[in-house]
Amino acid sequence: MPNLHINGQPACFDEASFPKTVAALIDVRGLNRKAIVAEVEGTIVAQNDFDTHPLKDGDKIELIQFVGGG
Amino acid sequence: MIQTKTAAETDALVIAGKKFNSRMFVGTGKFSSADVMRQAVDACGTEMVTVALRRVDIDNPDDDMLSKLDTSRIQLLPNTSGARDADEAVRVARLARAASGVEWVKLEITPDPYSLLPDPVETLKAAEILVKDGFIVLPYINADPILARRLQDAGTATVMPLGSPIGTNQGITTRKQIEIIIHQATVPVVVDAGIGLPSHAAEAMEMGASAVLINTALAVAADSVAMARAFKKAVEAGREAYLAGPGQMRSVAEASSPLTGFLRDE
Repeated sequence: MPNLHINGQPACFDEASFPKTVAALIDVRGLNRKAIVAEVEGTIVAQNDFDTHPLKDGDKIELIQFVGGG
Repeated sequence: MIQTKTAAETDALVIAGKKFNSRMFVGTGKFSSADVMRQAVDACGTEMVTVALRRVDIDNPDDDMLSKLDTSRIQLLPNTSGARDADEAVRVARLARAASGVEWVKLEITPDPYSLLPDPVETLKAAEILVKDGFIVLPYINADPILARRLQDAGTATVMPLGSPIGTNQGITTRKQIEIIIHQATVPVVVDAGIGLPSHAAEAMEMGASAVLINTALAVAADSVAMARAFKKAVEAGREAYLAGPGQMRSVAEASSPLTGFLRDE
């Protein structure tokens, strides 16, 4: 069963629902893509590339956003 | 009637070629709500606010923090808080740039979770990398004049010495060192961290600091918006007093009233 590591947590998918792009992952999780930056296997993925950047079984993904901070 | 502007009114702060009409920078952490934060930001008139980058809570995503801020008026200053070494700070800075399109970064490397004091060696190392990478770097540092000089020589846009440790509200316990930093500075000096009261902010500005960065003092106040207004006045008062040229401190008394002409026959 294919899986991803999202923000340090494993996530399993069946073959049919595996998100094939960063955009698909963000959509399936119901997140606001305009507020997010992604890193896949240590490479930053800009928002413009969310639709095309492919995901594969075992990828480590960071989904990051701005929060309040000094 | 001709109205002349005071020195303070014509005295904009310029960092990396960008003009700021307010000398108060605001951190956005720890507020009771995003709405209170936004109201405090509006009340003090700041044009520079810091934000942090964190993992999205996949199961409970927060609101988009940036949607609360008028970034047409306010310069966003992403920080590298949480970074414990130069590599982590550079990684966070690059992610922040990708997320926001902003090249400004508050460089902050605090390896010790107890003191939260910034690491000077890693900060200088990261600053050199980020400046070469095109970032406008505002480094948060201990009040170390030699480090401040090394950073400004490396091309940072400011130096930001701490008044006292983050979140302590102790005020300016590093006054003598900050005076040296201001005296030698070739870039704006922003006193960051530990400023707990408007009087502390005024003190920093009277000393000749270019700006102050305030977060906890506003966020934890019972009325954050009123406190933001109070800080605005203090920062403006301190700056105007600095420009007005304060008198020197003396060790012996000097009469304010004339010493002659008193109604007494000597």
